[in-house]
Amino acid sequence: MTVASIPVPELSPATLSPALAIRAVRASYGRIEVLHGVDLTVPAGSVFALLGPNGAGKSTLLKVISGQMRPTAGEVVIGDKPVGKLPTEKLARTGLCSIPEGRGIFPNLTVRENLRIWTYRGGLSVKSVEEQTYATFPRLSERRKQLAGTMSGGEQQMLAISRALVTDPKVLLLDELSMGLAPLIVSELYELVGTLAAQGKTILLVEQFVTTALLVATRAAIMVHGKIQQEGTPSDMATAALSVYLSS
Amino acid sequence: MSPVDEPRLASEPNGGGLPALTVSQVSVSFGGVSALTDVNLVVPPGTVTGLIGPNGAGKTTLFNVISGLQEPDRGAIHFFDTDVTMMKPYRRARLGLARTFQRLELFGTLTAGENVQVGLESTVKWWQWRHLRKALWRNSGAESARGDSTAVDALVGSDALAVTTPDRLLAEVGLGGMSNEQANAMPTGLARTVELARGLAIGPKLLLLDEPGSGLDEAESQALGTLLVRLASTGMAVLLVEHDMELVMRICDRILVLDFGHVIATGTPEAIRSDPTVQAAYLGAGSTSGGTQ
Amino acid sequence: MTSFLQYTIFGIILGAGFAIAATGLVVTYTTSGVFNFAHGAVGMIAAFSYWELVANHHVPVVLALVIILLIGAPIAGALVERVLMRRLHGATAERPIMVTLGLLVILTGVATIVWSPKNQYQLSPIVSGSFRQVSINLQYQQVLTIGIAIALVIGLRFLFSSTRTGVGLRAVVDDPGLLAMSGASPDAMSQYGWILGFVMAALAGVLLALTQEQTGISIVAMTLLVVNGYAAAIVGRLKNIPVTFIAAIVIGLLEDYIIYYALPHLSQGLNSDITLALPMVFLFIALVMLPSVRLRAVGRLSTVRVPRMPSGKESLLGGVAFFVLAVIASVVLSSAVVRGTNLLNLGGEIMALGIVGLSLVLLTGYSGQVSLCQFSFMGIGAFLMGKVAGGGSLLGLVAAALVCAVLGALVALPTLRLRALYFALATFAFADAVDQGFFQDSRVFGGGINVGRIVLPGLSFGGNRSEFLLLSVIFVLVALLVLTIRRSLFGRRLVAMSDSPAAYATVGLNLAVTKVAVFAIAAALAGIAGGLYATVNGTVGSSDFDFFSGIIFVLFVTVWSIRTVSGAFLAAVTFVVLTTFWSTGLGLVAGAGIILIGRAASGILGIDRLSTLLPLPWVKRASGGGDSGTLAGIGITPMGGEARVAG
Repeated sequence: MTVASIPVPELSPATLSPALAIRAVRASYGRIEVLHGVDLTVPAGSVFALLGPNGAGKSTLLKVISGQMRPTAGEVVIGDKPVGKLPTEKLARTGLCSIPEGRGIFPNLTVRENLRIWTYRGGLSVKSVEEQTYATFPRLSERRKQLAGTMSGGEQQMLAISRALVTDPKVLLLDELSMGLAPLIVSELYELVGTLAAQGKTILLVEQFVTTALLVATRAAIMVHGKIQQEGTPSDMATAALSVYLSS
Repeated sequence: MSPVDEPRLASEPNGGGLPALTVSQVSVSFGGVSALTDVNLVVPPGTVTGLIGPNGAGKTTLFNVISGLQEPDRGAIHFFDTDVTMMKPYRRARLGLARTFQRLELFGTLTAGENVQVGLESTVKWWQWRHLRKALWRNSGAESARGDSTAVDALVGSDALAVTTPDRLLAEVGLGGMSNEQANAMPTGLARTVELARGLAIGPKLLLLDEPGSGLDEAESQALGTLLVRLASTGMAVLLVEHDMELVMRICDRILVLDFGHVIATGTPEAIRSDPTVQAAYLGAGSTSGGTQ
Repeated sequence: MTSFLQYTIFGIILGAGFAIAATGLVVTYTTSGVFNFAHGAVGMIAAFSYWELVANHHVPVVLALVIILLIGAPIAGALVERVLMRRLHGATAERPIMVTLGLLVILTGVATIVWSPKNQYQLSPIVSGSFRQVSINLQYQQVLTIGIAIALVIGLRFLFSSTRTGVGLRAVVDDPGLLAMSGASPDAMSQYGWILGFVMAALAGVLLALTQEQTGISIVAMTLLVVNGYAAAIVGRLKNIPVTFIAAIVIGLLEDYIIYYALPHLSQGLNSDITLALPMVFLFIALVMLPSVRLRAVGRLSTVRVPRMPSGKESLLGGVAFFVLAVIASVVLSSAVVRGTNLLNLGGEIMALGIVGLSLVLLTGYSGQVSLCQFSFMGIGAFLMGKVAGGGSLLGLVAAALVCAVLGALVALPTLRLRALYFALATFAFADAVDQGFFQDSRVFGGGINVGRIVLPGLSFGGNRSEFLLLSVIFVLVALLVLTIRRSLFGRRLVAMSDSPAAYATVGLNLAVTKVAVFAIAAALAGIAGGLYATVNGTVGSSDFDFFSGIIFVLFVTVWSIRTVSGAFLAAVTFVVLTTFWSTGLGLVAGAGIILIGRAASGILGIDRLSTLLPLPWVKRASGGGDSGTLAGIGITPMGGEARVAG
């Protein structure tokens, strides 16, 4: 497995200031509360894996962090600034990159046009965005005039994650990066996550596939029923997650 | 992924009778991305069959194909000996196929009782004068069906439950006294149970449940398990998609594992739990060597 | 042959105008998800503004165009998005339809006040002169129109493929959430979409106005001329600009050929207004050709509480109380005359219109289907009442109910499989086609047809008081019927169908049958209402059932509360009072009302605070239902209102 060979910075959470702090966050869809007071601290420069079964509220938490959903209580702090009521696009321009579940691409735009959208982050030229992306994913270069939605799942996900690559975010949120993808492509994508981590970016990733996530993670937590059930080192969490998933 | 463990399409342990549901070689793709590939499965009457798999494995798509909300590209669906592949959803329901939805599809502005009642009355012709006459005086909801139970009794095709009014049916699923609650104001767990009761109200022979346990607490989940086992014991076929593995392992007679739109394993809960293919599917690539780095 | 070529050129010019209008509509729809029913009215306002500036105030043409296209239209578009549309996020699907219809009636209302329909509005071409080519005469003006249309298509193509904003405008269609996560504001994109849409509507309006050289421009004709673009936009499925463009040219040609070749051969005396019905006929055909909407589970959860339904006893008490009040009113007001009309006759009109309102409660309030053609059924009912068995006969009422029920089923059958917006558009098209093609035909209503009062064995309703009381009784009975239906099995099904079509089908119920049934019943009720309406004043004319009045009435019911019997009644009161005292303000008040109500699904009667502030006892009783109170409809809160529940 190539992923294991990626150098992951050994960081102790205690010595670092948090890049992202979630404090007693509650959120609901209509009358139905799905997050019942979530506390989570992601140290700067760490790769934090958030695990848990379907319906635990992981994706909802990411929506709250990225400003797509307002928490009903609690607060989200990025760096040292509370997010407050900043709209999603402002958050994105201040250095939060969120790659949503499914495919974080515009299926009816071509690859190039998708890359053009990434320049809304500010301070980027189309040219540099294209160069950087094609250098990392030569396959996308071949498909630059193709509609993104007609590419394979793996290529779509490469395009999605290229946003994290070119926009130089401070905090990166990855939701189910490996969903529905073949193992080979998953490891290719996680190789890139490892590279981004090595550049010192703070990454919060939500995964159902425990092992993949834990290969790059420096810290992990398990979320069940809208709450953080336990938090610890990746290897501890791997065992814990398996018992949550298969109830063995 | 390891080679596909072919599901047993031949006769099932339960009496050798016709399976309630037979899905043969069903494939579905969305815009070139395939969601289900040659899926085969059978659900015998009188059993609870679990359908599990990671997010995005195609479970809900399969439910949509079975209930008629999604047309398959290839393959066939048989309900007992009827080919229902091209049948409209409401016709399948009239044959005795009921389902619930992962994202709730309740009649939100009706009460819990009315939700169930719509199911109970689904075979009644609306132009029958009796129903208008009743509505002249009584409010909608549970009360109007009360005192007329013999009529409604006849409507419920299945004898799975000896309940015939919304009140009694709701009580049966543990929602006694809640029939006047507006459905969209109920907490998820209870709302899901209302959906289940509405499904039962049409007197189904096959019940498709899409994550009925999410949003339920421990005790409620226990009660749900007991109820499903009891339903199966009356001869109903239950196909259950659920992420609460404790529940699935406890009540299912057989489990199918779906991954990337393929059925990758079939077997008893014990066999599934120890199946390395299944563990790999749940834990992700390269995990067969163990759960840690 | 020469004339054929000439007509073809005309058709292409017309089509070019339609294409500009249609493309604007598509741009707005794709970027904001809102179909702008007022698009035609925006074009009409632009055309009249052009007349005002150029013909009336002699402003240079170029300056006038700059003022209209580069200043007026963009500002108006941006304002409409910011003030009207952005507030509607999370509202029910019917609300953007209602709000843009509100804008439509406001714009036509304002235009009627500013540019009196009594006057003539002639325009001269921007560039005059002509040249001869291949034995046909071409005016420079016509060449200019085609040139602008082509330039616009090229310009749009450039915008959408080669500028970041253009790509962003397409991206917002795909996934507004992801666009926001990428750092662009989806709201800003929608706003650009509205600005573009308005500019193109205005441009289409001006260019199409210039094709009306011989006849001059009129408010209705201009508004409907732009509506030709609607059909083209539908053919392009509201997203495909090239297809839309081609469809518009084809429609332009068809319309031209029909006018020049087919119409002269049709029977004599056919009103020339029938050409005004053509856009709607095309629109209807385009809609019918659309593929069916796929039934799917959407996981929408509405979060709003609905009130307890009144029991049969409560309804009956309310009905009796209402009737007692009506008796008292009939005694007190028996000789009052307002503006030449006996007050009791106005009361009779209110009762008849109230029944139309009740048909909307059943159709839109309970089963969630928007219908803009209840006035058509009403007019047909009135017509039958006047023609069957010598007028004023009960047989006429029966005929009105039956014919309208059948017609209703025929309208619903091909369109019920469409989604809400297209269904509303189909009723919009039907309503206008019936108005322009049938009601306006001089052989139908002519100067008005005489309808006698109803005669029952042993009873005469010749007196104004007895007529008023008869209509009050019928209104109460229909109200009780509607409430009874809501309490019955059928009513539960209507609400269930509206709440979740997917679940409706999966419990074994047939959506199609229920939809046709409720549409036919509502049409029959409207037909009966029309028959009764005709007996009040003894004579009715086409203007009583005018297309715009029908839309205004729907808006009033929505403003008061389309889910309650009280709402239907109050809408009828508002409509009749305004028609009597300030008919020019009818559209303005209705439009302003719907804009103020905004997202509140159950209208004024659904707003909790208002009803607690003003305990209006008659609101609850007069309806014969008392089902108003704290009604709240579906989807009031912005986030949770129609929130999708994700994993």
